[in-house]
Amino acid sequence: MRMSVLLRKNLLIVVSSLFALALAVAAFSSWNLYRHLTGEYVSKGSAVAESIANSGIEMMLNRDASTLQALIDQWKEIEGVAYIIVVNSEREVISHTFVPVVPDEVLAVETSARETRVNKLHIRGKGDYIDVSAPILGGVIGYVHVGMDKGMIEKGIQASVVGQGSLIALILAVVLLITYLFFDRHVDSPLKKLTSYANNMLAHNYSATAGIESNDEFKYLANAIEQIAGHFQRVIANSEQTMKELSDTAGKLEAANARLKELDTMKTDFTSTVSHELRTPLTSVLGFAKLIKARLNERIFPLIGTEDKKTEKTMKQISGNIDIIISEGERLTALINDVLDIAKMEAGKIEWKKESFSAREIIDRSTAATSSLFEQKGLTLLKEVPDELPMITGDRDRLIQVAINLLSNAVKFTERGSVTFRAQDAGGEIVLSVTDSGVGIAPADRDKVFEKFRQVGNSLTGKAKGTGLGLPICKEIVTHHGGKIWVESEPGRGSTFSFSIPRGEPEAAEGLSDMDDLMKRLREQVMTAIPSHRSERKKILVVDDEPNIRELLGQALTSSGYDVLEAANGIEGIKTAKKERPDLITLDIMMPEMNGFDTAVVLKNDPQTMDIPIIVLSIVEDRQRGYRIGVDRYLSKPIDMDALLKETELLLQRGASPKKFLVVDDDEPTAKAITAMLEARGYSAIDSCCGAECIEKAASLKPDMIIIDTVITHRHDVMKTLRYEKGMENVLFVLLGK
Amino acid sequence: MYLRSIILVSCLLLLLPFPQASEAADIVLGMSAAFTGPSRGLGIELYRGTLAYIERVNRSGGINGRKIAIKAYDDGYNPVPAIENTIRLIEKDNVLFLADYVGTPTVTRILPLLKKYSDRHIHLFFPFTGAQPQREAPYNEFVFNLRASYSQETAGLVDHFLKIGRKRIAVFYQADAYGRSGWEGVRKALAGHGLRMVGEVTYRRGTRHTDSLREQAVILKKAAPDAIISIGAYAACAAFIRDARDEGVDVPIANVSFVGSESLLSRLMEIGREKGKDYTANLVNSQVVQNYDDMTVRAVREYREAMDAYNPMPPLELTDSGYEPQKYSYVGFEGFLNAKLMVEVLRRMGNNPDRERVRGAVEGIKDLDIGINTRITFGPGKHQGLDDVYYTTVQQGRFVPITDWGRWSK
Repeated sequence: MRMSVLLRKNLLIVVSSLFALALAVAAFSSWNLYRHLTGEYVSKGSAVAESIANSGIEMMLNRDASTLQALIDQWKEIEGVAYIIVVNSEREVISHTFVPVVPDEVLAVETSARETRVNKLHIRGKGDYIDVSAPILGGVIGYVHVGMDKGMIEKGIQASVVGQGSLIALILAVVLLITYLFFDRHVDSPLKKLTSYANNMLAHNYSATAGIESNDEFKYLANAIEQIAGHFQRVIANSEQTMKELSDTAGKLEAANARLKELDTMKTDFTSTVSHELRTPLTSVLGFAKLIKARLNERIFPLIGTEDKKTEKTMKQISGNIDIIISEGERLTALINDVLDIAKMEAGKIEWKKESFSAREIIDRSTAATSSLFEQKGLTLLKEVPDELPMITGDRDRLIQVAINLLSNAVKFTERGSVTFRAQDAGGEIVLSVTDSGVGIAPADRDKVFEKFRQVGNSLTGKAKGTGLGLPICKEIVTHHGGKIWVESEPGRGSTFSFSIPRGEPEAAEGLSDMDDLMKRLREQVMTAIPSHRSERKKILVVDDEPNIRELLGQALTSSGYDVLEAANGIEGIKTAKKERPDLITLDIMMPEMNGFDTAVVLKNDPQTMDIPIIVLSIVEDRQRGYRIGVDRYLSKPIDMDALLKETELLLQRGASPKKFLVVDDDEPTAKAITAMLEARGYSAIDSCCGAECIEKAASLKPDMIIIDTVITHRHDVMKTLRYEKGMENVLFVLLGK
Repeated sequence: MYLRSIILVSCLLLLLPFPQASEAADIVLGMSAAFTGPSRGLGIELYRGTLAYIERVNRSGGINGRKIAIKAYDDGYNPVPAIENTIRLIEKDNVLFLADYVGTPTVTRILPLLKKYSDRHIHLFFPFTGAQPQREAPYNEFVFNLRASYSQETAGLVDHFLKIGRKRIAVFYQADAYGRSGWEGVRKALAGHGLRMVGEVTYRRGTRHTDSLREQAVILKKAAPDAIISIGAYAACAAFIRDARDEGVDVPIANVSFVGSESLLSRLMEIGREKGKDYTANLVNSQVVQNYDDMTVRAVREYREAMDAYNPMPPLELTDSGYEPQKYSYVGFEGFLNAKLMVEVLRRMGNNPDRERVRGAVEGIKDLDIGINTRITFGPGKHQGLDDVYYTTVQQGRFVPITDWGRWSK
C-alpha cells in the first residue's frame, strides 16, 4: 500500500527528531564517557604506578630483573595498561614491556620526585597514551611509568556509542512501526477513505458512504461530508429538474428560432424573387416608354402641325405624361434595386470588394456625383477636409454610395443655405459627416431613420421621396466595414449624419479577383484609343426568353443601325448563331431549356462561334462565373440602354480589329492568369515574365497594349526604353499596381 | 589456547572425577607446562624424557612397590593457567611435590604460591628455566634446580664471543621475565668486561614461527652487532633467525637452552625447505645437559634405551594435534635426568614418602652419580644441582658440540 504524503511527512518528522535526539544523547554520553574513562584511567594508572613503585623498592634493591619483570608483566595484564617501564635514577631501563624497543618519547617524559605525575604522551607509530609516573623512594631508586592506552578509551566510547546507537535504532524502528501502524489505521486509512468518498462525490455518486467507524474527528468530518452530500443530492436533483426544464425551453426556442430564420430566409428569397420578377416587366415598361418618347419626338411630333393650339396642348400633355411614366419607372427601378440590395446584404449574398484607397477618393467622387443636385437647388457645398487623409480598406464604390446617399439626402431636406461635408481623422478611424441646415429630426425619430421602410417626418404631411431604404443600406455598408453611422439633429436647425470607417492597413489588392476593375480600365483605354467609325451594318443576335425584352432590345438596336436577330432560349440561340454568324450576341442568363452560362460555354468552345463577342444581360449577378466562361461584358438588368449601345459598339470595333496584348508580370501565375482571361475574351495576349524579355518581345510583337506591373517599370525603366528607343510611342501602357 | 585448555581440563575433570583411584598410583607428582601453543615442544619433550625413566622404574616394581605417576596440566606457557594448575595440583590432586615446570614467566609467578603453601611443605623440582628468582631468596628454599642458570649460560656465551673478538653483542629477547632474565645475564656479563650491549630488541611471548619479526631484525641490523644472543622460545627464535638472515645479518646468533634446540632446528629446516635457503648456519646453542649422542655417557645410553623402549607420550587430551615428537632431544634428556634425581629422592624417603620429608631427602644427596660426568650435591642453602654449560652448533642437520670457536673469529 502506498504511504500517504501526510504519513510520510509525519514519519519524517518522527525520524528526524528521534535521530537528532539520538545524536545529542550519543554526543553527550560520549563526552561524559570520555571524561569518566579518562578520569578512571588516570586513577587506575596512578594506582598501578604507585603500587609498583612501592613494591619495586625491595625488588630493585634485592631481587633480579626477572622478578621485577614478572611483576610489571602481571600489572600490564590490567585492562587499559598499555605499557609499564621502570627506570633507575640514571634513567636506565630496568624493566619494560615494550616490543620491540623502548620508545624515546617515554624516556623523555618529565617526572617529579615528590609526586605522581600525569602526562599526555604521543608515541610515534603507536598512538596516544596517558603516562602516569610515580617516583620510587622519592626518585632516588628510580621511576615507574604506566601508560594508559587512550585507544582503549576510544574503543570503549566506540563500543558504548555503537551499543547506544543500536539501542536507539531499535527503539526508533519500534517507534516508527508503531507510528506507521497508528497512522495507517487511525489517520491514513480514514483519510484515504475520505478521499475516495470525496472522489465518489465528484463522480456524482452520492449514495456511497465514507465507511469510517472510528469515534473521532474523522468520524465527525465524515458525518459532516455525508450531510453535505445529502444536501448536494437534493440540490442537484432540483437543479436537474430545472436543467431539464431549461433544456426543454431551449429546445423550443431553438426550434422557434430555426423557424424564424427559415421565415426570414423565405422573406429575403421572396423579396429577391419579387424584385427580379418586377424588374423584367419594368424593363419593358421603361424601355418602351423611352422608345415611345423618342419616336414621338423624332417621328410623330414633327409631322403634326403646331398651329392647332389644342393639338399642341395635347402633344405637350402626351410628352409630359410619358416623362412621368419614365421618371416614375426609374424611381421604381431605383426602389427595386434598393430592396434587392438590402435583401442581398441581409442574406449575406453581396460580393464585397476589398481594396485599399484614400478616403479622399470618397469625398471627391461623391461630391462630383452630387454636384448637379446642388446646382439644381442652388445650394452650396462646403467642404472641411484636412490635407492629409489616410488610406482605408474596403469596398470603394459602396462607401462612395454611402457618401452620395447622405449628400443627396441633405440636398433633399434643405431648401436654402448650405451643406457641409466634413472629414476627420479620428485616430483609429476616419469620420465623415454631412451637415445640412434643413428641418432636422425629432429626437424620438433619430434611431428610426436607419430602419427599413421608414420615412421620418413626412409620413402624413410630406410627400414620400425616395425608397426609404437609403439609410438602412448605408448602415449595412458601414457596419460591414466595421464602422458606425449615426445622426445628430436639432429640429428646425438641421441634422448631421456621420459615419466612421476604421483606418485600414493597406493590403495587397486581390489582384485577379478584381478583374472587373482591370477590365473597366482596359475598356476605357481602348475606348479612347480606338476611333469610332462604322463601315457596314452589323448583325446582333438577341437571346432572351422574354418576348418584351427581345422586342425592346430589337427596336433599340435597330434604331441604332444594327440588324437584329432573335432567339427565345439558349438552344435556339446556339442554332441561330451557327447559322447566321452574328457579329455580337446579347445573352440572358435565366432561361428555360438551357441557361445563359451553359449557352455561353457552348458558344465560346465552338470554333464557328468562339470569335463572336457576348454581352450578358441578366438580373443574375455572377460576373466572375461569366468572365471565367469567357463572356465579354456582363451588364445587369434593368437594361441601361446607353451603356449597352456603347459596349456593343466597342466590342464590334474590337472584333473588326483584334488587339494584341503583352502582359508583363514577374509573378508568373498572375501573368498567365491575366493572359488566359484576355484570350478568353478574344484578345491575343502574350505573357512575359521580366523586364529584358518584355522589351525583346514588345519589339518583335508590336502589341497594341502592354499591361505591366509597376514594380517592373520602376526597376527597368521599361516604359521609357520602349517608348523612346523602340519606336512604340503610340502603344498603350496599362500599369498594374499591387 | 588458554581458554581451550581450561575447557579441556574442566571437561576432563567432569569425565574423570577420581582419576587417581583408577590409576591406583601411590606416588603422584604434579606438572604444569606448555603442552599446547608455540612452546608445546618443551613441555611435551620434557614430559616424555621424565616419563621414560619413571616408566622404567614403575615396570621394575616402582618405589618399594608403589608406582609413580605424573599428574600433568597444560598452561600454554602462560602465568595465570600455571597458577591455577599449581593450586589445583596442591589442593586437589594432593601431589607429593611439583616437578618439571616449564618457563620463567610461569615459574616466577607460582613462586609466591610455594611460600604461601610452605605449611604444606610443597617443593618444586627442577623447573625447566634458568632464571634467577627461584635461585634466590626468598623462594630458593622451596625450589630445587638441576640445570645451570641463564646467567651462567649467557656469561659463558659472552665470554666465548669476546674471546674470538666479537665484542659488539646485541640481545633479542622475549618481553617477559624469561627474556629479562637472559637480558640481565648478558648485561652483567658484559659489564664485567666493561662493555654494554650494542642493541636490544624484544618480541611478544606467543609469537609463532609464521609471524614476522622483520622489524626486530632491522633494528638489530642497524646496531651492527658482532653477535646476537637470543633469549626466546623456539618458534619466535626461528622466525627471528629467518628474518635476520633475510635482512643480511649473518653474524652468529646464540640461543640459550630453553629454546629447545631440536624444535628450533626442525622449524628452521622447515622454513629452509619452503624458501630454498639454509637458515642453520652460524648458530650457537648453549645446553645445560650433555650431548645425548655421546654414548660414552651412561645416562645417555639409559636415556636412549628408555626412549627406544617406551617412547612415552603425554595424555592425548593434554595436547593438540599435529605434534611430531623428537626421537631424542636435549630437553628430553634433561627430563630424564630430572626423573633420575626425583626417583632417588623418593627412594630415600622409604616406604612412606611425605611432603615434610622431601626437603631433607634432597638436601641429603651428596656426590651422587646419576650417570653423567658430574656428581651432584645438594644441601641446606644449596639447591642448585649442576652448573655445567655445553655449547653446540648445527652440523649436517644436528646440534653437535662446538670443538672450535675459532671459525667465528673476528
